[in-house]
Amino acid sequence: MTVTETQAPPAATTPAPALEPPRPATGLAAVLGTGEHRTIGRLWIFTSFAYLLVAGVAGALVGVEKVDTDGLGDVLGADVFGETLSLHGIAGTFLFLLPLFIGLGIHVVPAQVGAATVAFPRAAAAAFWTYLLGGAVLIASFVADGGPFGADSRFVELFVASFIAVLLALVLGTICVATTAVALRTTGMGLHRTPLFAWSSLVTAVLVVLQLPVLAGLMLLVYVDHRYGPTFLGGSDGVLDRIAWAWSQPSAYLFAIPVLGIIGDIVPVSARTRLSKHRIAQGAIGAFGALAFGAWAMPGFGADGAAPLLHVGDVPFYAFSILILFPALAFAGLLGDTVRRGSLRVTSPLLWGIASLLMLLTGILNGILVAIEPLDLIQTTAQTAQIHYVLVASLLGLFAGLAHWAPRLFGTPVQEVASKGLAALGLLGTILLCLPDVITGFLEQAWRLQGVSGDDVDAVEALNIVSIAGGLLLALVAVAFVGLVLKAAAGRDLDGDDPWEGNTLEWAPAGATPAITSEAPVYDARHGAGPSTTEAK
Amino acid sequence: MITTGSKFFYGVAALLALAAVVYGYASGGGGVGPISVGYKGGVGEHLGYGILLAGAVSALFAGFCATAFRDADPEPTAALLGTETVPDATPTGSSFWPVVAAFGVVLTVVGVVLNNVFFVAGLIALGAVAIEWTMQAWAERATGDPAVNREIRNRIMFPIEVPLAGALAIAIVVIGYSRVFLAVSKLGAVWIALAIAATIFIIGTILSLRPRIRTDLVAGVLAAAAVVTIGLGIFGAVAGERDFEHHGEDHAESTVEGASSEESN
Repeated sequence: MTVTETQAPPAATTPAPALEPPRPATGLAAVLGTGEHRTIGRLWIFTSFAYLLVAGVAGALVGVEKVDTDGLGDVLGADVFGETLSLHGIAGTFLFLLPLFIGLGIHVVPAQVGAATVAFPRAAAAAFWTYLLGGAVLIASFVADGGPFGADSRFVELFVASFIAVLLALVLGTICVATTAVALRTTGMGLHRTPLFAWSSLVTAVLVVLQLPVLAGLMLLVYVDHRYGPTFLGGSDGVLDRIAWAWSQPSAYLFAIPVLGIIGDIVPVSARTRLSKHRIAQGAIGAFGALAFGAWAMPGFGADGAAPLLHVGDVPFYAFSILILFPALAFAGLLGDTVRRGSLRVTSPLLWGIASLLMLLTGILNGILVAIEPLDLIQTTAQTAQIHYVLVASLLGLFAGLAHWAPRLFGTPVQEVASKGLAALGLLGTILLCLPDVITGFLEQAWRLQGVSGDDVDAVEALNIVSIAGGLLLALVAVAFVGLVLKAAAGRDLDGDDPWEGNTLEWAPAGATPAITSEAPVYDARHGAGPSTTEAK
Repeated sequence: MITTGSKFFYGVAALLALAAVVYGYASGGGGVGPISVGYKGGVGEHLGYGILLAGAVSALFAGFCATAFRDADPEPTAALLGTETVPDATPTGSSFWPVVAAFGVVLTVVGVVLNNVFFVAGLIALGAVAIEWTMQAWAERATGDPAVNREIRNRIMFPIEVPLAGALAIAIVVIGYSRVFLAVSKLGAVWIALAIAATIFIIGTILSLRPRIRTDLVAGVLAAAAVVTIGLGIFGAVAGERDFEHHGEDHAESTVEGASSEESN
């Protein structure tokens, strides 16, 4: 029998085929699957613009009702007015202001602290998509006659549930920003040397984490009560009262915390010097943040489920309202000192920042007036004015940030001349929107369709028209500025120059990270490492 | 040394604790209630007092953490790691699970209010995301080579994903086209079935005649087919089923009638 040897020759080894490296996604797939922090940041920013449009249209509809105080509710009807007012507040704060801050934070904070990426980039992406889709469902529930004051109970519940989803997405997004500021700082970048925007992002995030879960928990109670319970909390008519504390005094100041950081980064650059007393500025922002904690000032639970304003007249309400002025003034003083020591050049981010800071200080003063019980301004248009002052100041401040970091966000700066003009008009629009409301508050015009209880109806109606004109001007300014930003984004070249000669790490040339011995490393590198203000202390 | 972050958190804690005590007394607290957290005497208005105190405790805890971990400053962290610098966090790659997770959350939210089917679908999506996201995060750190990492991930997950994806595709085709066939007339169903078969045959022929086929093209064709199938299925479901003649009963009746006529003959 013949035996065939089948053993393979030992030398004949074939190499394993090389594994192909993963190909990067392109087009829509690249956007849907992105984990790149700059892209995620821009997604947050652009989506917040879309929701700003919703808030603006709702605000315009609310304003129309104020023209004729005799026929309040004639145009929209009382329920639709309540729904529109709620949409204006929710879209303006939770779908626009906070997301715009998160977008800026996700894009800018990693660069400011010398990190290559944001912390938990996929969580930041998941937060964005939840915010986008949850916000769309929230608005759809309003359109389907849901939301606060809505008639269709199913869509009222859909509003509450989608609002909870949006709140959780916002908390997750801010956690990503805060973790970046805390845990991803580069060598030499102690927390005391973080740029003020990064520091203010951390302070804002702490407040968001302390405050928004309280609101989400309250919404859960409202959902359970509305769906299963005896509507102890007032049904759909009671929902707005359970939310509005989140944008009223003192919680409204939460939205302004990042603005202090933005202005604190812009002013030294415009003054071509370093900030006076960086640590004191950090302390002022921290104190401002601590005093902006306002979850305690929500309406309580009365025996009949009503929402009594327990905090009015309480000592802490006075104290928080008055005390918050001091860190804000201290911060403004530091900026003034910085300008005095430097060589000021007027840029559009500086103008937006000044407008924002002025309106914020005015809003704080307005808030002190509202807190003084004998003046009886609670639930008048003076309180509406205070909310508008603070929230519009936050909007102007975030626009300052967009104008300042546009070269890093989009590779191209926004048009300087047009941006300066818009900043001036924005200041004018804010004053026209809010100041008449302060005066009509003293003339006893109640907020939310409750009419005028005093004798000065004609004067109130005239002032209301001025206020509406201010709101319209502000809306036009916002649309025009968003147009400038989109134009800058359309011609993007992601390696844009530094037109401002910035001080902090995000302005360092690519591949040339300077040694960090102070809070202004790029300034040090440009001027030779001088004595650090941080180290000097 | 108390670090910068600790100072902030301790400051917040002190302010909120003080505010809680003041608020407790201002809103009707008595004795040492607001100071002793209600151990002796009332704390006043419970909700606001509780929130302020909870905020103070949370901030105090965060302050302890910031002190213990030195604000997560890079220098102490590097010293702990025994290196000169802290390794940079590396940018992450592409992943679709975040967007699927968001879709799952929103589907769950819509479902919990409007429809149990959506709710269950949302939960299934979130469960799938939890597994896939975890697997991807692990596999990306398995070795230093992205290609090898992808291979490792695929070897573990493909035996699970491929049958499930196949079952899902079959379910979509069966449910989608059955809705269409049930909605149109009997003859119409035959013509639609022929049209579908002809379309598949023609597209398959065109693709097979090409010397090289891009994966993107195949994926695009399959995605378009899935969208058309789901769309037609929804359309058919909304239109409802056509009226059916019950041949079985007719046949039985005619048989009985035939038998009785034979008997009569």
